[in-house]
Amino acid sequence: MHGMALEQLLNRIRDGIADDAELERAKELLASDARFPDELRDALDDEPVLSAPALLSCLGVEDGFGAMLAGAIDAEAHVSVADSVIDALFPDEQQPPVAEAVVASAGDIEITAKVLEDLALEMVDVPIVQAVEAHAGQIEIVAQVLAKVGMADAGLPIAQAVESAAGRVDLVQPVLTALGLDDVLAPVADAVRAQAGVVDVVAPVMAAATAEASTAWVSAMLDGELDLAGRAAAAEQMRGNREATAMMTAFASIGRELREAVAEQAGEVDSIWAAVAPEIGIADPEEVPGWDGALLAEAVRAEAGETDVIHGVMSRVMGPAIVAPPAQIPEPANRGWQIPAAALAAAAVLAVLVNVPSLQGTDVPDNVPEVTTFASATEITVNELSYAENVTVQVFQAEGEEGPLVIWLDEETSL
Amino acid sequence: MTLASFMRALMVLMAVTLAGPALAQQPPPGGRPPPTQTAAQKVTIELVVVHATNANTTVDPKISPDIIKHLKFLNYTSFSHLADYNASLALKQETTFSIVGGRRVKVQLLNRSSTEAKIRVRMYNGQGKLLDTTVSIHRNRSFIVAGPKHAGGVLILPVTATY
Repeated sequence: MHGMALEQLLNRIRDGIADDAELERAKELLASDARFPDELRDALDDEPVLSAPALLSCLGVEDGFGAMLAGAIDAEAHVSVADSVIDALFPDEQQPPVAEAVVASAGDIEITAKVLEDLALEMVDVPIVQAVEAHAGQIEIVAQVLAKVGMADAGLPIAQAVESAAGRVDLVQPVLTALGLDDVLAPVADAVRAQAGVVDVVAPVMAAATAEASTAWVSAMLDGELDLAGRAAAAEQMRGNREATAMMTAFASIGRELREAVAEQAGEVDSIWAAVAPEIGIADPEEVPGWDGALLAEAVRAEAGETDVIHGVMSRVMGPAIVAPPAQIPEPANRGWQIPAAALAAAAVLAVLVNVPSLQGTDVPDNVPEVTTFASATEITVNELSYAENVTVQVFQAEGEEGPLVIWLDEETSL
Repeated sequence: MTLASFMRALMVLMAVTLAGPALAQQPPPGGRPPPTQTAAQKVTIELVVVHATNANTTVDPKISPDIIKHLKFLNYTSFSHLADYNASLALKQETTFSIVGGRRVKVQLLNRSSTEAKIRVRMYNGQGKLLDTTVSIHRNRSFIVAGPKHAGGVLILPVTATY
C-alpha cells in the first residue's frame, strides 16, 4: 500500500501534474520507504520532475530506459578482470602470487563514477545516444601483459588464461544492446577512454608471473613436459647453474614426498615409467638431462673429513631448505616450500589426502571461542612458505597430533 | 524523456548501483555480481606476543593457560606477555601489527569458507622481509609463529583466526 501510493505520486510528479501537497507527501514516503537507500532520501528535494523517473526505475517501473539501463549499468560498473583471469588460471580457488597480483592491481574496474562525471560535464547539449556511447572504451591488457612477461608464444597457462579471460573488456556493446541501440553510433567515447582506456596490471602481474616463469622450465624439465628442443635448451641452461640445480633438487624432493604420501594412502603402485621410458626412446629412465653430478661431488668433497657430512652437503646443495632441527623441536610437519607451483601441487594433494574429509559438511554458525584452541595436524595446512636467505625456518607440530603447528624462524642462521 | 532527465536518472541509478545491494537489479546474463563485504564475512585475526627466556621461572598470568601448556616443549622457563593485537579483516584486506624489536607482522585474509580461512602472514625486521607464509587454518583455531630473538630470549606469537 505504502509503495503503491509512492509510485502513483512519483508518476504524477514525473508528468508535471502533482501539486505541492502531493510532492510533500511523496517526500515523506520516500524518507521512510525501505526500498530506497538513505542516499536517495532527499532525491525529490531538488528537481523532483527529473528525479521521479529515476526513482520509478528503482522501483522497477518501466519508463523506457530505467530498469534496462539500471541492469546494464549494474553489469558494466563492475568488470572483474581479476576474477576472470583467476578462474581461468586456478579453477580450484588456488591463489598463488600471480592471482594475488591480478586481484591487487586489477580488482574491480569501476569506471562508472568517472564516466558520469564526464557525462555531466560534457553531455549537456548532445543527444541521448551520445550519452550511452560515452560508455564506450575497451580495456586491453592482454597485449601488454604478454609482451612484458614475454610469454606470448610460450603456450604457458598464464599466457593462455590472460589471452582468453582478460582479453578485451568491451563496455559499450552490452550497454547499447540492453538499451536497444546497437545500431546507433556517436563520437563521444573519448571521455570514457580517457578514464578507462588502459588498466595497467602489467607490472605487478609480471613481477609474479616472471618469478613463476623463471622456475617453470625447471619443473617442466623434471616432469618431462618439454619437447626435444626444449629439453636440450633446458639441459644447457641447467649445466653449472647452482640455483637451478638446487631448485630441481627441491622439486624432486617434493615429488618424492608426494609419492610417499600417495603410497601411504593408497599402497605401493608398480612403477610404469621404467617400462614406458624405453618405449619412447629414453635409455635410462632415471636420467635427468642437465643434472650436474659434478656439483654434488664437489659439495661432498668440500665437506669430506667431517664426521657428519649429510647436513653440510645438503645445506650446500639446497641452501636453507634443509637444516638440522634443534634438539628440542619435534618432527617437522611440512618441508620443501620454495617452489610456488610445486608447493601448490603439494598443498592440493595434501588437501585431498588430509584435510578434505574433515572439511565436508554444512556451514557452521558463527561463534568466537573463549579459549585458545590450536589447530591439530588435520586442521591446518601450510600452503606456501618462503623466507630470507639469512633465516632458517622449521615447520613442525608440537607434542604430537594435539600440539600446535609452529613456524619457527631463526634469524641468526647463515649457510 | 529529455536529455536532462535522462542524465538525472542516470545519476540516481548510479547512486543506487554504488550504494549497495539493497536495490540491486538482478544480475544480467554473463555479469558477475559485484563482490560485497559484510561483517559476517570478516575474520578476526588475533596476535599475542609472548617473550620466552631463561631469566627466571615466572609465567605471566596474562598468558592464557591454553597457550602456556603448549609451550612446555620449548627450552625456556619464563614466559612474559608483551602485547595483544587483533584486527577484523575482510576478504583480501590486510593489517600490520608493529611488535617489539622493530618487527612488523603483516596479516592478510586471502580466502575464507564455512570451515577454514586462508591467511598470509609476513614478518619484517628493519632489514626487510623475514618470513612469508600462507596458511589454511580451520576457523577458531590458532597456530604459532616463533623464534625471533628478543632481549635474551625469543618471541612466541600465537595467531588465531576466528569467525
